[in-house]
Amino acid sequence: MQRFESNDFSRRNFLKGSVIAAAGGLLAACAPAAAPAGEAPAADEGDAMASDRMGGTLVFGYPQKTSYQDLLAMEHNAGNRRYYLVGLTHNCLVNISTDYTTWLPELAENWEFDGNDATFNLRQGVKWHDGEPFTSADVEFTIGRLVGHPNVNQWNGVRHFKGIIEGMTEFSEGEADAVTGISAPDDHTIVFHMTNPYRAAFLEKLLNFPIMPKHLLSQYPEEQWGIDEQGQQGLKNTPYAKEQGIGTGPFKVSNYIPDQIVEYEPFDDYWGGKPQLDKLAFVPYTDQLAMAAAVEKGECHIAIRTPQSEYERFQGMDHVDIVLNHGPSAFAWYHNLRYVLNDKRVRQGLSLALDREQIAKDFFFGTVEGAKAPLWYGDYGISPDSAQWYEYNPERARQLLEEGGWDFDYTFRLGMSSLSPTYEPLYAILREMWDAVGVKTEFHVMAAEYTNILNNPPHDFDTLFSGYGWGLTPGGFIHNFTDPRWGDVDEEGVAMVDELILIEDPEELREGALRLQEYAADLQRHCVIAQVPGIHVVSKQVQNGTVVPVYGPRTSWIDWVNVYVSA
Amino acid sequence: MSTYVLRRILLVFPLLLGATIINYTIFALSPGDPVSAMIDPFELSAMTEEDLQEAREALGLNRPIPVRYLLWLGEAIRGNLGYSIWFNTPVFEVMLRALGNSMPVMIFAILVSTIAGITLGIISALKPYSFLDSILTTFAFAGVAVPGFFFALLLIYAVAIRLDLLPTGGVTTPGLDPSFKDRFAHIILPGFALAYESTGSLLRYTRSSLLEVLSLDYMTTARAKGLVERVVILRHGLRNALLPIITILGLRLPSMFGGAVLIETVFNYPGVGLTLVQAVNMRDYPLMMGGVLITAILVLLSNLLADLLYTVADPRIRYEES
Amino acid sequence: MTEKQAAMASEQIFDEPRSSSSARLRARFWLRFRRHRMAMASLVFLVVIVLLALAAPWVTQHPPTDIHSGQARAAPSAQHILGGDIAGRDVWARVVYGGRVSLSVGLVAVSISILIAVALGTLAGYYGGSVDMIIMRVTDIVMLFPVLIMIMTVVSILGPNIFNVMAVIGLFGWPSSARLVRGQILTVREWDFVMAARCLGVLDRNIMFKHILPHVLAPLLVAATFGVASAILSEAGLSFLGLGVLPPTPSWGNMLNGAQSIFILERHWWIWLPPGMAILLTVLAINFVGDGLRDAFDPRMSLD
Repeated sequence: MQRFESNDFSRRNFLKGSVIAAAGGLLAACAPAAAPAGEAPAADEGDAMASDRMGGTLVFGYPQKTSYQDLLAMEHNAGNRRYYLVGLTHNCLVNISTDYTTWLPELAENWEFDGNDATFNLRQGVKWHDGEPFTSADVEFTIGRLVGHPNVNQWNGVRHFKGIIEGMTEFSEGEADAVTGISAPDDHTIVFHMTNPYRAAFLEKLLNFPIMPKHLLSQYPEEQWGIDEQGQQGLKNTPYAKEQGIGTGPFKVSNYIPDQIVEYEPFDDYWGGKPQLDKLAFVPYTDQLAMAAAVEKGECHIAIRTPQSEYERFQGMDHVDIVLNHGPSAFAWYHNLRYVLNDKRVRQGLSLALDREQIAKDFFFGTVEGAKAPLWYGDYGISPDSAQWYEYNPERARQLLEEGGWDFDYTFRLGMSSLSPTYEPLYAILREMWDAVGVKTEFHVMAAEYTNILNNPPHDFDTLFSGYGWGLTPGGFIHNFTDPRWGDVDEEGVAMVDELILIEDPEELREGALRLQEYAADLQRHCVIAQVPGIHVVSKQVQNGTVVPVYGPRTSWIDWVNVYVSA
Repeated sequence: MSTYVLRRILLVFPLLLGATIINYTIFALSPGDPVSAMIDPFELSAMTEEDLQEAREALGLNRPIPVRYLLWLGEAIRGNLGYSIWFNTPVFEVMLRALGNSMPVMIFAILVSTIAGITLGIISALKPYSFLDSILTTFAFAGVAVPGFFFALLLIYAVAIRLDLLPTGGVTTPGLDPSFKDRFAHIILPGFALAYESTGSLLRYTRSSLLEVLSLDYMTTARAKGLVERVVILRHGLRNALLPIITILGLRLPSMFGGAVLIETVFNYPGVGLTLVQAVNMRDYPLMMGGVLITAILVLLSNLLADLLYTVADPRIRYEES
Repeated sequence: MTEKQAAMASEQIFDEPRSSSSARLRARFWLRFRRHRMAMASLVFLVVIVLLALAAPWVTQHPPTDIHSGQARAAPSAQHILGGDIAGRDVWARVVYGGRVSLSVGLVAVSISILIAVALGTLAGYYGGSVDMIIMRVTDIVMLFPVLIMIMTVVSILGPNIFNVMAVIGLFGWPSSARLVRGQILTVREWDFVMAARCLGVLDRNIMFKHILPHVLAPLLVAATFGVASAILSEAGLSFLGLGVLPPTPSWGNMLNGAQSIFILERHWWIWLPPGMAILLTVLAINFVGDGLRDAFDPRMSLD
């Protein structure tokens, strides 16, 4: 029997966790960092600011395609902590430390694994924002009914637990009334019966699921959870999801104007201690320049993912610090193997034609390095300097294209849903580099037909640009092998990932990761350009809240409980 | 008078009907399957062909376009323009909120451009072909010639950042308690950016209209009566010259909405313009469709208002038309 | 009298005096136009711009889409007289080639809307009655939709490329010109010589093309001039939203996107100032020329 305690801190656990940690997709920057019980807020003794009154209002800005902020993102994962907002109001069972070395207790105080069973002992005395007590019934409800319910959107939610928790597949496909693999022996214990002896892989799944209040959500009949005749997800339209957002997290929603602002106030009875801030405001920016201007004027205290073009200016400003924290996602082209890119050598040739360092310097203003490997490599102890799966070699590129039978008269279509002016220079540089090895290209802007072309046969596109690739860790990477849009399932790749998830020995794990890197780099189903730069700007007024960034993706680098804003 | 007014009001209905037909046709003929366009690609890949067919049937998409139009119209008349996919809210509600944000900016812009345009136009007309007139003419034309979004970018850089006078964008200062002063401060820059273009054309209009009136016989008569030039211009000239401006102002609204698309984007200001840009970006067809229709209805109403005001202001029209 | 004879007769009656007077009219028009100094200067400027655009390959050293290594955001130099843009393309070449694109978007879009406007306006004005009623109501209805919003919506549905941009700007630009044509025709229709031609049994078509349309031409030309200016601006706005002319084809509008960064705005003037000035000066010049044309055509506005 293996036991994970809150203080269990080892390289070994880290590696286990990191294999599948960091769910891909959006760079999540602000799930609440659960301060381990007993660890007092680190007051900076020598700091002159320490004499300031704690509190203040913190304005948090982030870029978004639209100004609409969804409190809970109920259609994804029935609330997903990867979304900034839900991370403030809700907690998950477990958390992971900001440097990915330690699993931290959150709503679960400790847990133990015994063969295929995982038992979580829940924290006592936790309250929902409305004063109701939090119990194991809430966990059972969230994971056992909400996440896998056949009426609830299936894509993001249940796939995490399908085939992992017993009976989840049957329940989600409407063949069973309940998930057999979840039980709650008492108010503060929850047991999961798994199909295999998963360890870190299971904890990583739990990171995605904030626990929802049963007493509030069960009042909406389950038949109304699904899509109504207006095409709307029923759960998403409940007053709970649209107005209240009641959770167990450190902050409560105090003012919500969907297309402008969400304001939060501290939750007095938060189990981790009442947050220091008086008020917290979340503001989305739809325009790059508007965001940069707001940062410069000090209109927002923390701005994440600011445009790389402003990096040099921000560096020259006295009133802000810059935190570089590049995301687990990447700019990448996804190749469709059905057509002209069917030959592996052609795909390798296309990749070899790209001078990624040049792109990093010119388009990313030197804020990131060009990608050196198809997977994100930080977690495996592989230094970026030694990673050499992607190289720049136009001669070899040309040779491989010829060997692969590339038709140099063919005009290769670079697909995208719309042509964002921001990325235009990037596309232009890529085109030029491909042009240099004789590959003619054109933009294929799919506009209204984007989803049709992408999802329906005959999937008529050559390659597709994605600003946010899925996570470059194997867990997220598996979709590159399975997604039907890029061609047939690559059984070998899938088998490699499945095997990797269960590996416990760190050396073995590292070797496995290397093999996967090599395999993916050789296969070239997608062509990574560079990591998405994470250039976060933090006002010097912000005290006590940020942690030193480490290389790699982290979900929570802001300590929401202890952060405050000095006058 | 009453027959003209009545006819003018009744004309609203065929126009409205026509607007809904155009609006519906554009979206009905748009390529792409509305169902798969409505669903997140990642979700869609998990759906089977039967699921899609079911969704199409649920939305009545297998019926002919005219039938679908009538069904849609029936709902639209009752105020149901469907649900915005992205905002997860009825389209009507989304647009109402956006209008609530846009209206103060537009009203401010109309006030600024009207006052500035007419005043500068009078100055320009009093000394036609003078040096001052050339400068004002150039200013007016520059207002029409600078792309609105570009002017707005420069305003943000110069006024908000360099001079540090006004906020850079948004509706309110996040975190502050709502106050009139704060709201107003956020309106000024986008309002000016929106007003600049209109000011130019209004200036030109006032100038040429006033010049024309000033050359008419009764002005000469008034002068001959020995009235002071200023009185002549203000009492006799201006009144007649400015009458058509009511119509001009009524016709301002469409270009205001058009300008708002770009300017609200630059100022991160969630009004009608930004909302429609987002609808376009997110391919939120119900919102695009409902949003466009609502702007058309607003234009229709503002035209009606301008016409009715004109009738009140200019007695001649009642007899001419009837 | 047969129809043909009637037509010939009408030509004899009406064409003879007109040709000599039209030469005089043209001379007077040109005299008036030349007195509008800004319009003259603008005309010269526009001629230069058009010549530059036509001679693009000869006045630039680099193709507009070529990326030069080391030239990303590089300041102006002897090799690249206006420096390099964000991707390292020659800004001067892009401005010149962009002029081709922006000007042709303006001209083609306006041609489309003028064609529609003339067709519908003439039908409405000449036939009157229910034809007029229907056409004018349709015009009213189309005018209800804010132009830029309609263009943005339709282009986003069809997909942004230069042809769609031209077509859509043209398709939503006609209503005001159509009204203008109709109004003008209503006036001309009542003129004596048209009445006379009708009495003589001249074909509708002939009356329309020979006698009425020429008189509509002047105000239409003015409207078209302003139309070109606003089409160039519409394209710039669409490009700003990522819905304009598709890169890598340069247009002044999509080049101006470089200004969407304070860093570029503040420290790399050569990326945004040239296309910005090109749009500003060209649109300004077109407007001045339009203004000059209006003054020259309209005797009431003639200089004292």
